[in-house]
This record gives sequence, C-alpha cells and structure tokens, in this order.
Amino acid sequence: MSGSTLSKAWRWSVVRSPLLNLWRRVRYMGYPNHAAFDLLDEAALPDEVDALIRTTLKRSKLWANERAEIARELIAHTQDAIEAGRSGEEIASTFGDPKRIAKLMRRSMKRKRPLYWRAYRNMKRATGVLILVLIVGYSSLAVRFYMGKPAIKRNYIAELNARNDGYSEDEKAWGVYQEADIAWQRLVLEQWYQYRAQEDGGEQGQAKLSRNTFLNQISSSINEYQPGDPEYLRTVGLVRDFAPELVKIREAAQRPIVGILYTDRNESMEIEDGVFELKLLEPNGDPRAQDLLISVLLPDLQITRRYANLLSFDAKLAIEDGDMQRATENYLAIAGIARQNLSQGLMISELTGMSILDLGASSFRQSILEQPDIWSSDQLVSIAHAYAQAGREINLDLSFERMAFDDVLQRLYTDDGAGNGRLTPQGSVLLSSKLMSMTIRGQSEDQVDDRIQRAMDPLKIIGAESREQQRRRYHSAMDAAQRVIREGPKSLWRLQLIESQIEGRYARADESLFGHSPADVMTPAIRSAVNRYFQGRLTNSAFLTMLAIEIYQRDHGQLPESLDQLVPKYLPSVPQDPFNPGFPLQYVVDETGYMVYTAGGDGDLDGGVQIDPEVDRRNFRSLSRRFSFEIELGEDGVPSIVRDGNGRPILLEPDAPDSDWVLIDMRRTPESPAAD
Amino acid sequence: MKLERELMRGAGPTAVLKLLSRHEMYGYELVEALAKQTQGVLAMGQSTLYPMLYNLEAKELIEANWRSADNGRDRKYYCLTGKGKKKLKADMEAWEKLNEAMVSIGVLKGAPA
Repeated sequence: MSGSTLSKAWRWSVVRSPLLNLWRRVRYMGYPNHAAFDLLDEAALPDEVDALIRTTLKRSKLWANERAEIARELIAHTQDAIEAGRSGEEIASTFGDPKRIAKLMRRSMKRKRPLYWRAYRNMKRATGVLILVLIVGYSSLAVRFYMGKPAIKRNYIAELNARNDGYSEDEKAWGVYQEADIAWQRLVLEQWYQYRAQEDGGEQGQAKLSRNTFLNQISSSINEYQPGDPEYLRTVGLVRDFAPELVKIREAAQRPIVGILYTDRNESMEIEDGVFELKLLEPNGDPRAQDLLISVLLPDLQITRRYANLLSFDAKLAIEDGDMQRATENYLAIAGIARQNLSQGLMISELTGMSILDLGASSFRQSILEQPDIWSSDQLVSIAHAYAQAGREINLDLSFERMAFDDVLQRLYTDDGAGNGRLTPQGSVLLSSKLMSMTIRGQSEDQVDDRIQRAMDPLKIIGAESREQQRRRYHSAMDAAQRVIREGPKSLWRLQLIESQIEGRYARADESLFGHSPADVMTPAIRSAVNRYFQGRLTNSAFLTMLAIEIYQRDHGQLPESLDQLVPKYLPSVPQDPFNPGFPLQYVVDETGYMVYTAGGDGDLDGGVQIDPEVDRRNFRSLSRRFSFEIELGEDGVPSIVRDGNGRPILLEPDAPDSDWVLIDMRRTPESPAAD
Repeated sequence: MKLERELMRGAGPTAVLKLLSRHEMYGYELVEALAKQTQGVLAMGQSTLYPMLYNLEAKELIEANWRSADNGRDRKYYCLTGKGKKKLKADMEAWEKLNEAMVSIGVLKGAPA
C-alpha cells in the first residue's frame, strides 16, 4: 500500500470521518463561536481584507477562542497598515492565499494548545494507527487463513487395509463371523417373540423389554446368568440352537486374521423383519472423499466379544455333556479370537483381545477348580499353546493411533511439502466439532463460544502451534508409551507426566481463544493402556504357569513344590512380574490347593495374603499404585514429579494395602463345588 | 528579491528572533522592519509571519502579551524569552559557520582567511 493511500485512509478514518465530524459539531454546539466574527464586525475593515480574514478563520477550523485570538491580531495588523497609509487593496495583495494561511495558522495554533490536548490527540492518533494496523494485520491473516486448504494426499484407510493383503479369503474369519451374526439375530428374535407372548407372571409383573434391549441384554450378560435363573435356561436353549454356527465360529477362530474391510462406508440392510445385515462398502479411492481414519467401522469388536462369551458358555455346557473335545475347541477358539483381535494393531482391538483372553483364561481356570480331573494332559497342552500364541501378540504397537493422527493432521493443516503447515478453515471446524466430540476428554462447558473461536481462527496462523509441532508432540507421546513398554512399569511416571501436561493444557485451552490443539485432543489414555498391556502379559503368564502346574500334576501325581520344578519341561523359565522387578511370580501350595501371586501394590511379599481381594482386584485393574506419583506444577506451568528429601518420587497413595496380588487361586474351600 | 520558501523557513525565525532581541515588537512592526532592514529580501506577509510567531511561541522562544498602544488600540507585543536568547545565540553561530563555509567555497564574497 503506498504512502499516499495510507495517508488518505488515515484522513478518512480519523480526520474526515463523518461520524467524528458529527461528534465535533455536537460537542461545540452552543459555544460562542461567533466571537471572532463579532470582532471583525466591530473593526469595520476594508471589505476585501475583511473577506480574506473571515475565509481564513472559517477554514482554520480552530477552537472559538483561538479564532478570536487570530482575528484580533489580524485586525490590529490591518489597522496598523491602514495607519501607515496602505490601502485595502494593498493589504489584501500581501495577505496571501486564505486556504494556505488557514492551514498554517491551524498547524501552528495547535502546537500552542495545552499538554493534555496534545496528549489526547497523540493517544487518539496512536489508537487510530493501532486499530488500522490491527485491521490490516487481521485482514491479511484472514486472507491467508481462508485461502489455506488441506492437502489430503495419503490414503490411510487403504494403507490400513493393505495389512490384510496377502491373506486369502479362506484365511479371514470375518465372513463367517458376519453370517453367524445373522443367525444369532434370528435366534434371539425368536426368543423375544416367545418372551413377549408369555404371560406377565414370568417376569414378576415387570414391563416387557423392548426388542433391542432384550437382544443387547442377552448378548452382554450370557456369562452372568447362574443355573436357576430364568434367563439361564433361556440362554442354554439359545446357545444349543446356535451350535451349528458355533462349529463354524470355532473353525474361523483358527484362521490367521479377522480380515475385516476397514472402511468409512456401510449400509445396514434389514434382510428380514428385525434382522439386519451390515454391508461394509469399499472405501472411496480418493482420500479427500473419505472420512477420518479414526472413524473406520469396527463392528467386529462387539461381535467377537459376544462370540467369546457364547463359546465360554458353550464350553460349560460341553463339560456338562461330557464332550471335552468340544469344550477344548471352545477354549481354543476363544484364544484364537483374542489372537485375531490382538494382531490387528489397533489399540481398541488389542484391549478387546486382552479382555477376551482374560475371559477364556478365567473360565478355563474355573472349570479346573470345579472339576480337577476332566482335562487330559494333551488338552491342557493344546490350550497352553493357544494361549501362549495369543499372549505373544500382546504388544501395543500403537501404529494405528499414529496413522490416525497423521491422517487428522493432513485434514486439518496445509502442507508446505516439508511436513509443516498451518491450520485451515475446514480443519478448524473439524477439530472443534467432530474431533472434540470423539475425544476421551469431551467438551467442557466452559469452552469459549464457537462463533468467537471462528473469529479467532485467522490468528491461529501465528498464535497456535504448527502442524510440525503437533506431529512432534503426538508422536513423542507415543514414543514415550513405547519406551515405557520397553522399560517396564517403573517408567509409567513418564506417561503420568505427559497426561498431566495434556490435562493442564486442555483445561487452559477450554478458556482460550485459540481452542484445543489436535495432539491433546487425540492422545489416547496411554498410561491406562500401557498399564493394561503389562497386566495383560502378567495375567497371561500366570495362566500359562497354572496350566504348567496342572500338566505337572497329571504327570507326577502331585503338585510341584516350587515353580522352578516346572523349568524347562513345562515352562521355559519362571515368569517375571513386571510390576515388581526382581520378584518372579510366586507360588504357594498347601493341602487345599495352590496360588500364583505377585508382590502386589506395595511391592513386598506377604505369602499370598490379600487384605481385601475386591480392593486389590480394582487396584490391579486400574492403575498400579506403586507407579503413580505426586505431580506438581512449576511456575512455568510445566508439571514435574514431586520428590522427597532423598530424591525419591513421592507416591500418590503411599499407604497402599499391604497385600499381594493373587492371580491364580486354585484353593478349594469346603464350600467350593469340588469339595462336595 | 525574495527568498525561496525553504531558505525563508531557515532564515525567517532567526531574523525574527534577532529583531526581537533588541526590543519587543508587534506584528506589523516586524513585517515593516524585516522588509526595510533586509531591503525586501526577508519581507513576509501575514501568511508567513503569524504562523511563524505562533510556532516560536509554542516552542517558548518568544512570549506575547496584549497591551494598549499610544494610539489607544490594542496590540500584541512579542519579546524574546531566556530560551529564545540561547536559541538565537546558537542560530547566529550556525549562520556564521554557514557564512564562512559559503565564503570558503566562493558562494559568498568575503575577506580571505
């Protein structure tokens, strides 16, 4: 913009602004503005001079007292000139151009004005300049911001699907699982019609459940029903009717992968009344037309979890039937389904896989506790192999989470070709609407109004972190998680620190005009996930140890005196407890049975004593107390671990219950069914 | 001969300060004195003189007051302030040096050094 254009803009906005002029008129209304002209009237100067002075005064636009001062002086000057013999014409000829003299008079008189006026004028000018700079600055940022477009180049959904390349359809389980799901829906629907047709007496006068509630309840609560419950008998009927499908599921569970098509497109078709088929459609080949990678559909999680429950239930029925072959295959299938989920590389699939693996192990352990002699050594060995194979897939590689975040970045930011870029309008909307609603932290009620955030968007070009900074922040959190996986639970504090940093930034961002950063929104609950990873491996080790003990017992007719006796024939080595480095898994045996346990939350051995098994189970499932420390915020807002006088981190809950974590309890109490 | 505006802008205030250093004067008196004493070289009309006087007043180099003259009319008399005297002294030294410089390069005639 040239200097003269700027000058014009300035004059218009501050000096000649119609609004400001109107304000000036209002301000001086009623002021004795005619004083100067009264003086001129009184002086009766020659007309030509009088006219020049009046024009000058009018054009000067000075205050009334200033104009009066000038009028008085020019009148005196003219009268002196007349006294000296000058004519009116002569005086007028030396007067000069009234427009120019008015300008010079105005400029010089203003210099004489009081300090407060000059300070006010300078402040006004400075404010005007500031406003102008802000308007120009904001406008240029707005132009730059609204011209930004995300460069969506990588097809991450295709890259995710490429993981299943090389597997034939016969090696993928999804087709079988989906067909079985339709059969399951039909069976449950039939049950529901029967249930609805029943007289109210069956449900003790309670209102009948809707079809969907009925279906969900049956699917999720199968293993909670006990013999004698009305639902138990109904479930037995359902599972027996489902037997042909379970045969297929058991076969499919041994295939290498689930092999679901990862896609953002689907069609739910009602193929008959109340029975739906979810058709997963090929994702669009153009990543720009795709949804976020993190939005891919994962119907396999719910379905496989249900099958694990059904297989576990059917295993109990098979034992009742004396069909140990079927029971074994059911447990092998649960391990297979867990393995398939664990090997998918998505954190949510891995967590589901660990949960399924725990379900199978727990159910199998219970079967031995109830009927010690029903399993042969060969069956135990095959179970051990399947659970060891699945356990090896517990690795939490976080590759999907990294891809999902990089996909988000390419949809939020521009791309300068070197991995950096700035937030785009589409990206800003995506971040504050869809991504915020998907986050585990959710949307705060204190959040700044969305319209204000939109108005602040252009400022994010300079005020918010860049694409590269976001990428670094997210991936360094993932790197930290993998470092903790390598180093063990003793390093969990690193993730505690990262999460408290995120929580701090998140809380501040709720009230910030710049909103939340994508890395903070997208970072999953990594500490909890990594803790779950350690627990998953530990419970799997404990289960394999139990199987080794059981096989040993069948081979030797008695329980081993120590776990060392299992090495190397039944176990390659005694498993270590990652939560208590230096302490391998512990084993205690007495006349009622045996226990496999660890040193627990307090880190010392108490011979397998549990103060409160319920509390211990909860502690074990949530976060390890031994590795949760006090965090304090520094003056710069950066959190750090609080340490005692000896430099040791201070535990968040130093008074953790003094008990061990019992992972496998094979003691038979007088009440247990085996003692009957 | 009249000076160009830029030259007048430099010389005018010093000339006015010099005239006022002798005794206080009113506007018309200053116009007359400048025209006569400089043979019209530094002659200036109201459009130049009064803005210049107001500027000097704003800089506190001169001060003014209204008084009745012998003819009974009011006139605004200007006189030099202490600050104005110092400024005049500095300006005169500067003009001396300028004069010497102009002589040395032959723009002005003067006695050889």
